[in-house]
Amino acid sequence: MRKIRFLFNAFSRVTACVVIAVAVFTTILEPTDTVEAAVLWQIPAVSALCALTCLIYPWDRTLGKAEMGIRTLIHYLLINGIVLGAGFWFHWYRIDRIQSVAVMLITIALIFALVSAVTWAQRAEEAKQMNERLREYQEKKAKGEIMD
Amino acid sequence: MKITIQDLPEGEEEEIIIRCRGMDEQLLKLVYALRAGREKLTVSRQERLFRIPPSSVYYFEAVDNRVFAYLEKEVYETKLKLYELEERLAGTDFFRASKSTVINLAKVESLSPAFNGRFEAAMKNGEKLIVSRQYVPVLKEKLGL
Repeated sequence: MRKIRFLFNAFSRVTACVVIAVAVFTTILEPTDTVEAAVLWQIPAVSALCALTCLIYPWDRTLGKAEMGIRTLIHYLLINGIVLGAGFWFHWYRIDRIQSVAVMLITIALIFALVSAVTWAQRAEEAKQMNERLREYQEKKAKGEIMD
Repeated sequence: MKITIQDLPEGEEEEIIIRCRGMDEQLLKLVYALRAGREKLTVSRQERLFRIPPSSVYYFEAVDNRVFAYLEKEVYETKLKLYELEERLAGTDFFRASKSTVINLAKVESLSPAFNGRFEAAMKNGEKLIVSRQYVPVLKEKLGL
């Protein structure tokens, strides 16, 4: 259940960021008057696949810095593979135009950074709340309100 | 709740009697805490046995099927498995932080986010331990979040 909740949270964050990216893409980078209705299904489908890649990190085992670095790199490459593959399949970009591929790669990098930043900010807020509770817990303990 | 403390004559065994209409969560925690507070753990170091209060332990770690108790500076080995310690110390300051560690919350200085949904616990003796994402909800529950 925790895994499902975790994946759903990841899916929500990725979807939100992809929607923003599509909006920027279709209004600023490659302005278009209309967007196909099919994109409404393509976005969540690709976001779901990207969210699943979070399972590349072990759930219940601690990781060293090197392993974490390698897994993050693999994670990033997997996301590039999924988005470029799906984008090619759904005609989001032209593979024969370097500029089009470059825009896709930059967009993926920006979304990856944005999702990571949002996630980090949420975790930092959680840590702040936990530290407040920890201080309260230890103060109560020092006063003898909580026994050893 | 009324608390009565009676002086006992020499030689008589100390006893705690709880008079209540039913056991609620708070009372259960109190009973666990009383048991754990009085209980001592048998640990060993360099083939010598020691009895230590669990509250002096910063964390327990399982390494290659052996379980070690880390105090502020010393390290002892215990014959108990990690899950046995977890059961024995249920309702106290200890919580499962990963597959291989059980941490004493009273010895945690602060918590900070680590990569991928995990948290890093900075201990009061300067050590840093990871709370894996599987056990973050356990920690949050312990803190009442």
